[in-house]
Amino acid sequence: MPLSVLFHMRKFLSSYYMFAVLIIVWGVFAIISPSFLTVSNMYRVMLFSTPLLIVSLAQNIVILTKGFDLTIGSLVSLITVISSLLMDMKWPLIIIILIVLMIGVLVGTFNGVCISKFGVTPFIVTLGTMFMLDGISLFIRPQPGGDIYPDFINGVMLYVSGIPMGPMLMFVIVAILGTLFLERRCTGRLIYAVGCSEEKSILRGISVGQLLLMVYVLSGLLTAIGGLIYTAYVQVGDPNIGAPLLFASITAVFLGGTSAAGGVGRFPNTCAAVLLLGSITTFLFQIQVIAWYKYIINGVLLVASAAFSKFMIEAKGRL
Amino acid sequence: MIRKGKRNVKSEEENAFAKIRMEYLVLLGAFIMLMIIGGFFIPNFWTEGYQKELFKRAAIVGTLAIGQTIVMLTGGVDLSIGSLTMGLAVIGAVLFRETPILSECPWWIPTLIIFLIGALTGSVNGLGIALAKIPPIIMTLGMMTTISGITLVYTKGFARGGAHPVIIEFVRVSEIIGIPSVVIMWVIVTLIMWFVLRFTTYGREIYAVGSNPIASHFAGVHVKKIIVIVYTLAGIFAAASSLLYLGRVLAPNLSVAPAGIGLDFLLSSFAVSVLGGTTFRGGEGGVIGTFIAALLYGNIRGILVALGFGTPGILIFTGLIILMVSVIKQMKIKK
Repeated sequence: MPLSVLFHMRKFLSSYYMFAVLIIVWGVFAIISPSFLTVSNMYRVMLFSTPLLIVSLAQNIVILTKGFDLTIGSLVSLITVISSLLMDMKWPLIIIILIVLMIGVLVGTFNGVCISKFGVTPFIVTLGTMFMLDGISLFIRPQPGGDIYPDFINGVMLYVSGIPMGPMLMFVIVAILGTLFLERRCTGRLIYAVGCSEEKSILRGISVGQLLLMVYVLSGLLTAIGGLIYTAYVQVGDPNIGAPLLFASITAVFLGGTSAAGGVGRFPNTCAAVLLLGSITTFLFQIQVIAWYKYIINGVLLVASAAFSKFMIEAKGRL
Repeated sequence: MIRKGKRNVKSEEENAFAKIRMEYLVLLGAFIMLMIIGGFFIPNFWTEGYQKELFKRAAIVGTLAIGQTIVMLTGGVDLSIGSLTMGLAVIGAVLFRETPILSECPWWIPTLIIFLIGALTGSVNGLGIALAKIPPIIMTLGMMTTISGITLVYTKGFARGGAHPVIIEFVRVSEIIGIPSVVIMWVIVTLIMWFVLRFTTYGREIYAVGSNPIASHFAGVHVKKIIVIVYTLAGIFAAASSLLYLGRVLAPNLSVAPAGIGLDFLLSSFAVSVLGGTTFRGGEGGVIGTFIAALLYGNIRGILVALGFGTPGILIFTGLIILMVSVIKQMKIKK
């Protein structure tokens, strides 16, 4: 009996090791800063992680197909800029949301067509689109500014007796839906299949081109949703606010053990990695590290996460 | 018979190079066309001063882009050279003027230190990619933010100091038979790199690693060594470019984007390398194309600025160039 329990535990740990890492890191943080492991602080971690989680889901899906989506940061910036612009012009909220989602789909379609129809490397396509989107948002709003509707902010935050419940709810919903989509739905499994081997997928009769197109459209749409929610957080239209989200999303995906070679990785791990990144940010804020050090920590974490993901996959191969 | 066979092989090779020469001709044609267009839009375009400025500006980006081109030839990509250039310029300004002992040293000691930092950063990139097998994009992206952070911490967020008089003299004033010596240096470096890539074993191995790393491994190429060398070279070229930039602007100003510093250099180096015919797949392209493309790109930017497009216009246009060139190339391959 205990042997089988042990076996299951080992299987669970090898699949979802990121949760163990998360708990260890929380423990270390709690020892250094006693106020870290309080309910209100944990709540703050989750609050700040929600936009990142949505964007990371987009990045995760793309990286599973051996791709890269560098447009995520610029698209988020563009969406904060455009929604703040339209809100300055007093457009109805529903139309603004629809327009923003359409922009996301449009950008995703553009990337997807360039990648699946013309066969250009995802990295260079999204790099080109990234520069273009940056240019457009700088053109629309050179300086941060604009007002966001209070109704919209309240709608996203969903205040219940002064505590924003919306982000928490969204975090849970996105985590569950993302996991179900990638692990239980047919399309999700096809994404893994294409990531493992494009040639074999073609031989199996999967229309890889269509799937890739769908992946990038989905990424654009998810990023648009994330950008809308992020707009409610920052409450301003800023042409270069999104870049940190791009770095964080790539870091989270690799920390979650997703391989850059495609086809390997589980979304719950990415969720845990997002929480870990949120915890690190909050912790650094608590112990009052100078803002410049955050660049260094981000860079080192990104490289370390990629090395870590490589290591975990190789370790699993040995098991 | 043997001679005939040899001639056949040679003619095939000649064909391949004729194709590449065609690309260079197209680039040169575009350059000449832009020169004519520029003459229309920019009032004092055909003066000696403007042309010299154009070539000097192209020399900074061109030097940087040589590094990016070599890295792309091995199928990699270096995102860190932009922030490395900016960071070294800012750190160099402090080393030349504001550091207690170093500032009294002759000019070549801080210069050497800058080159060493560049080479060191590049080799860290190379080692991470070759030994830890981290994908180049991730490794250099991480390096990019790390360099930005280190620069900001080192200078406490605002740039101080300035360039050394010798470097200012070299970049802004000195001329050899009427041609700025910066431009002559750039041409010489490009020719050396062209020779190395075309005629030496190391150069051919760089192309080999780019077209097929596994095959070249089995053919006896030391793939890891080549990768480390290539990224180190990219770091050295970034250091050279940072000195040219420092001499040109006298004192760099540190504008910080959330993604890091020196994004403009990164953008230019990509645009120039891609425009010059080097592809992300590796094993295709060369430094001569990069040379012409740097002139072309400098010209385009000059015209865009003269037409009143600021940073947004340049960003959009550069993105378009990168996308269009790679889509056209890809369609050619499919045919």
